[in-house]
Amino acid sequence: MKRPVIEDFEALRFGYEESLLRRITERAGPIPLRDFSDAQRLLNGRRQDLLGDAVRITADLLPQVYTAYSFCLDLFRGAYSGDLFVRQSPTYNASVFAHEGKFDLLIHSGLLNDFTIDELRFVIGHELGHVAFEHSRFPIHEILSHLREIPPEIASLLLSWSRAAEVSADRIGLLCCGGLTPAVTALFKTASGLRGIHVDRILDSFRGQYEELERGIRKGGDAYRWMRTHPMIPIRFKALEMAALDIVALCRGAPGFSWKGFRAIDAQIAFILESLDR
Amino acid sequence: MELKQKGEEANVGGFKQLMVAMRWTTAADFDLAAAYEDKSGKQGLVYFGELGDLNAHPFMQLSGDEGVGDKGGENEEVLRITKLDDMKYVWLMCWDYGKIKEGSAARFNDSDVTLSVMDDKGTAHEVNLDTGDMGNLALIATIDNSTPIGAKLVNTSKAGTLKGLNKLQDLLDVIQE
Ligand SMILES: [Zn+2]
Repeated sequence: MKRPVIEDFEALRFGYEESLLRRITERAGPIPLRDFSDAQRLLNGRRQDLLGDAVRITADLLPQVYTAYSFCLDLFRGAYSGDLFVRQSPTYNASVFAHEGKFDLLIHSGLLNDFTIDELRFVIGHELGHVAFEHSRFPIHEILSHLREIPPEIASLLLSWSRAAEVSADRIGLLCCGGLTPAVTALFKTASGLRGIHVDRILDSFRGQYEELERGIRKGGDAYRWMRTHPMIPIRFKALEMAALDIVALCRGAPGFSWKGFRAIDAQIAFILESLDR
Repeated sequence: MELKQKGEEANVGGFKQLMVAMRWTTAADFDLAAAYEDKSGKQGLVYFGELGDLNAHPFMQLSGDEGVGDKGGENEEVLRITKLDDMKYVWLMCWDYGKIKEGSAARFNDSDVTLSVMDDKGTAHEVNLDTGDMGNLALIATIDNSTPIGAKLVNTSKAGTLKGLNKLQDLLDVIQE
């Protein structure tokens, strides 16, 4: 796959994420960003941990995985630098912490064993999306761990923001894997722990689940109060499904892409999420 | 895969989504549209008068209506199809609205109009825009999703001449003739 040239990653950020940040700031003042030295300390500490109990992936160790990682990282043309680590765990998970353009990305061995290279690109791209959008600057987990001290309205906005941030990160994942199918199957594997299921069945399942979720939320009901930082999988799926054509077109330099068209799609996705958040 | 021969089928491994973009700067009111027949036999049309929906049936949507009143400039109409499961056929077409009103020949040849078709894997498909000497309506490609193999794009370029845009059947008559 030819590497896309993207001039402005910021333009890919989910518009709803931006508007939530604005709303939070309007109501609660500036969000307490992670302190510079605190972030530096966290990055260093995490790196020490990873060097101590995980394995750094190099071109010699895992050429295909390393190539996929480099492909994703090179999209940013040197804006960020960091290493990819693998740690023994059957749980399909990955995480990243970034500070001042430096990051370390940890991926669980379960992913390397069971995900295709394109699916790995989606996962790696998603994590690099968090780096590019500087999501580490907002210590969301720390803030939310003091949930009781935060006015409910602000807490709910913060949760919405962290879900919207996942949608932004997914877009970079999509850009890195270059198609809806690997993005959707990666999301499915991560959510279900299952593999070897045909993509058509996965699409059917996600769509059905999304529709039921949408109906439930519209009817209202506390059962659907979202108290998790990752948006419910069907919502991420829906956001991917709706933005995929444009991001793939952008990625391929296809004539179908225009920023005007992309913004219009972004606004439609924002409208859906916002109406579900209400 | 390129589609050059008329009627040649390109099964692109069952694509899931499709994006059609039409751009032009010359003064003309070109319109992109998609007629469809779903698996229950229901027919419908996504066009400037019914832009469709990406989050509900028919899961296809037109970006808007540009070049209205034969305006020049950065005109762009994009049709996105995010889900094809319930569709049996989708006929992708465009017309020259200014000329349909009069029943005269389209101005595609005198314009800088470009058409692009791309699927969810990023594969670009070439399509023809040929309305002949008299036509003002062109069928540019057909999505055939009637078999279990998955959707395929067929380059069935056909042209017709309409006077006034009245009934869906008028369009279907051109498509199915
Ligand atoms: Zn994430």
